[in-house]
Amino acid sequence: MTMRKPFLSRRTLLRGAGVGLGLPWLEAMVPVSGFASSADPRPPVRMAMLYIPNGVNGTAWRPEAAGRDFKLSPTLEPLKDLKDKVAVLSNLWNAANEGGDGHYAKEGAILTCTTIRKTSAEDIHNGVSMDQLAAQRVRHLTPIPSLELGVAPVATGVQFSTGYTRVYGSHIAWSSPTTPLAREIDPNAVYQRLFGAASGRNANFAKMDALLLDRVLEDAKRLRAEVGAADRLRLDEYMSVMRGLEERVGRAGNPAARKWTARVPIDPKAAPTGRPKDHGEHVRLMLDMIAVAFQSDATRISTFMFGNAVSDVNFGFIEGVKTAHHEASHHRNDPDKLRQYEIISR
Amino acid sequence: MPGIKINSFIAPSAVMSSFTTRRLPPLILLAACSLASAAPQGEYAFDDAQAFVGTYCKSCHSGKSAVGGFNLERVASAASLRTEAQKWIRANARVRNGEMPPKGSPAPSLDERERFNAWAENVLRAGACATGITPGPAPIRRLNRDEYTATIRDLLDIHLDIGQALPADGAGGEGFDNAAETLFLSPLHSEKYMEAAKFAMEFAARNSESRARVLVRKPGPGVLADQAAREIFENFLPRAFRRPVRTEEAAPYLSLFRAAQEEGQPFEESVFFALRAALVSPLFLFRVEPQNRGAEARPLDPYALASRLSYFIWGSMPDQILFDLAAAGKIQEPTVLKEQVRRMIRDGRSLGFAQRFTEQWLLTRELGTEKIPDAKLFPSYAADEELRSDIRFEPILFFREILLRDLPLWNLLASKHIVGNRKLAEHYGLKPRARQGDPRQLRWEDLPEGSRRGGLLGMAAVLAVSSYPHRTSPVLRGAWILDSILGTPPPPPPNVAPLDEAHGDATTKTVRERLTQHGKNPVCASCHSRIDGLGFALENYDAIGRWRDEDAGKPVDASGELADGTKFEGPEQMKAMLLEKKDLFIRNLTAKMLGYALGRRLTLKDSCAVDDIAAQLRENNYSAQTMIEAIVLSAPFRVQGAMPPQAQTE
Repeated sequence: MTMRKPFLSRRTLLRGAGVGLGLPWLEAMVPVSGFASSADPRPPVRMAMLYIPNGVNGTAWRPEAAGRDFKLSPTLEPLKDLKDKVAVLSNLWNAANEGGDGHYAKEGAILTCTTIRKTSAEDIHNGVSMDQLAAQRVRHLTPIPSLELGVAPVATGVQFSTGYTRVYGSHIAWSSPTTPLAREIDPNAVYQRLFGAASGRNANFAKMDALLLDRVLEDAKRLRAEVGAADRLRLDEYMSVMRGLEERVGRAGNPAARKWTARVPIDPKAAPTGRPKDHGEHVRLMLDMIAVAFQSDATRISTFMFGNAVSDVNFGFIEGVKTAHHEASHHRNDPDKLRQYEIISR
Repeated sequence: MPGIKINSFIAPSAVMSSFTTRRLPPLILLAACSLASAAPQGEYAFDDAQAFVGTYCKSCHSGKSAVGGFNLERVASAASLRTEAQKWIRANARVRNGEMPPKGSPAPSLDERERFNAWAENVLRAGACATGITPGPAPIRRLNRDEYTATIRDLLDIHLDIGQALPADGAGGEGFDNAAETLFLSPLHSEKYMEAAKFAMEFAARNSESRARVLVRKPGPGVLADQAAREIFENFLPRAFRRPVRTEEAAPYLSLFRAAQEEGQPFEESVFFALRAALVSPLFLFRVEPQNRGAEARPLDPYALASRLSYFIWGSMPDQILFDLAAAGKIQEPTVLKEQVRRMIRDGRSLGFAQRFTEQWLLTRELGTEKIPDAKLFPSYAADEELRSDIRFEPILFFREILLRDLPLWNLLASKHIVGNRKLAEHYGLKPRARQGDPRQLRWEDLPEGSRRGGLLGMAAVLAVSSYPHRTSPVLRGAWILDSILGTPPPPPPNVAPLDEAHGDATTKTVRERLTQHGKNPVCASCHSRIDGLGFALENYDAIGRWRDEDAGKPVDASGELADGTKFEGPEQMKAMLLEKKDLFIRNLTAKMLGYALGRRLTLKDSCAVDDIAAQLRENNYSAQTMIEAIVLSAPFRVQGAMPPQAQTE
């Protein structure tokens, strides 16, 4: 994509951030600036998983040669300035989704490495995704446990020909086999959320919020005693997210409990305005949000979806492309389509 | 609120009518194949099914080591299926989807498969319906984003799109985003609910209508702050929780009020703080119905029924009239329900219902998000926001007009009317009508003779959402008709190399020329012979629904043929063909609507209710309001089944 307009000043945003390919040396991108004042000088370990729907043109994606001196592939060529920090893993394989039909069996399980259950909803079942396993380990260290981002709203409906709910194709982060995590697609809302989380709240505010959360948890407990077994699971889900919030509110209101240090503080004036119409600009902004989140240590775990599974975003805005994404992915070795598929992936 | 008092939570004894004992008329044979399959419907009997199972299934599913513990030797008669109904429902779906028999085993032809599927479904359904229509489960359900927004609006009398800050909901069940099973909660929700509650209450505190609605008592001479707050909560909480509230449920909110007072907060701030908690409480965020712990099905609790009604037709909380009818114990009466349905449809709030239902049923919600017609090829569409909005709203308003005017539902397939304005008329190549008022307003109008429009299949939104961004696709359109209109979605394509419609020399070949390759491969032809023909009949509409006589420089050939040899040409003849199959369409629409009304996936038992409602529609000239009434009066909607004992224990 060619439209790279950094919206944030360079003070607050590192250029080149957000291209981490989800590999664990993201910390290398963070400069040790004057703001870093944590007792532990090592930067925290973070993880971002960026997901591309419909796969990629493998021939154009796979680099030549293994090891440190590999040669970047045409698709990965834009990463040339960061090549020393990039590793490409090949031959990863989810044996559990072999034979599942259509996109959802593969894409829904991309971070869970399991077999998703074919259902229109009533007994939805995936696995816990790897980002959430990581979040379970480090979520007590930051104000936001993990950040789930995307650019397309959740796809609604059921794909009746294959019998899968589109919930599977719209979520890669799953905190339990039955709970996909909601995503945010508005960069401004994310920015405000990060700012609110990273700057903490005053103690009195936190105290009142904690009281309020106590109250509603009491309602949930009372209600839980009145309903059947299946409904209890829903209320457990409710209590779990409300308790999580209560803990975070508590930590935010107690400076001694704060374990995070912003390497680059968030400037509220640098907030992006709303959701851009332009696809490339939107993607760029959301990736910037991951960089902001990591720099401010608002969270250390993030996932991002370039689109929903079977996304048919029309990439006609890129020179040389005249098809939509899903359509190009079913290229049937047509050289023209393969080329377009490659350009989109890039 | 008058009518509901604290501490008076006694369900009025509603009259148990004969819902559960109603016997059904003899089953209409599954119509799924009548349109699509060339095979004679004929006398498929148990012996045929046994032969099918013997040839394709028994080599794995027999004996002591039967795969999955599914031993087919035990199947002695059709009734055997009913004793293991749940297993057979699953097995039947797997056969339909081509998952069974598994790859590498001898596979039945599509016709064999379908005849077996139809037979098994028929046997299972006949078994399920023989015992009368009984209600399915009613899981607790979080308000979805739209419902949350509308409920806050009606509860506080504020006009605010507060839900836009919440994450969008996925969908399940029959394809709608009010399905209980897919209304999950994420940590993100907890934050957003807290913020939205705060924002709503701060907004309400400054709004005069809202203040009048909430602050029903002021402290003053002779009225202590505590007493005023108590009265405010007694008024507010039953509306927020949509049912009477017991004293012990209200008391903790009073404690919250006092806590805020002790922090030095003024009276009003303290009240709004406590009410903020109510908006985050599960009693507000979830729709909960009191459990039936008895052994028998019973009429649904009146307040729960009021909520089912209001969330179905309005997507929001019940109004005072519904609350009063619930309190008076009248809401279960069929005449009262019918009267309420008609009143609620006339209310402006039913527009949101028309929008949510229509856009999710027809998939037109994807227009503008997942599906965006190519801006270079369709610059007039891309540049004209008003046109895009008109196109999106056309099916919604058309559906609502049919409902308001109580017209026969087959108008959705073919109609002499349109909801139009000047822009749409131009888009459709119609002569704009001289009329009074704003030319931009979408209005119900007669269509001129030979208009080539009328009904969903001539609407730009439908035609665009079933196209690729840059061209039409007879495959997508055919599959869309099979799925959305007829409710007989084609099975997923087998794992053969997909035929690409644009493969080859795209500049000289028409789509039809490319698609003839489907006919050459028998594996493809078995399904595409029923998909492509339907789509071809719509080839005169381009990817944004404009009429065209040429495609790729050649005259459009809009002739289609079904696998059974039915031939038709162009949209008018295809619509006439669909009208002959209107019962199939009506059944599909009824099932979708019942699934929407119940907010969950339909069960086998529910399909008995669908048959029953479809039969009522046939007797009543397919009247649109009859469909809504019949759904509201059906057992799945207003009867509550007994909770199975195992569900009651931890």
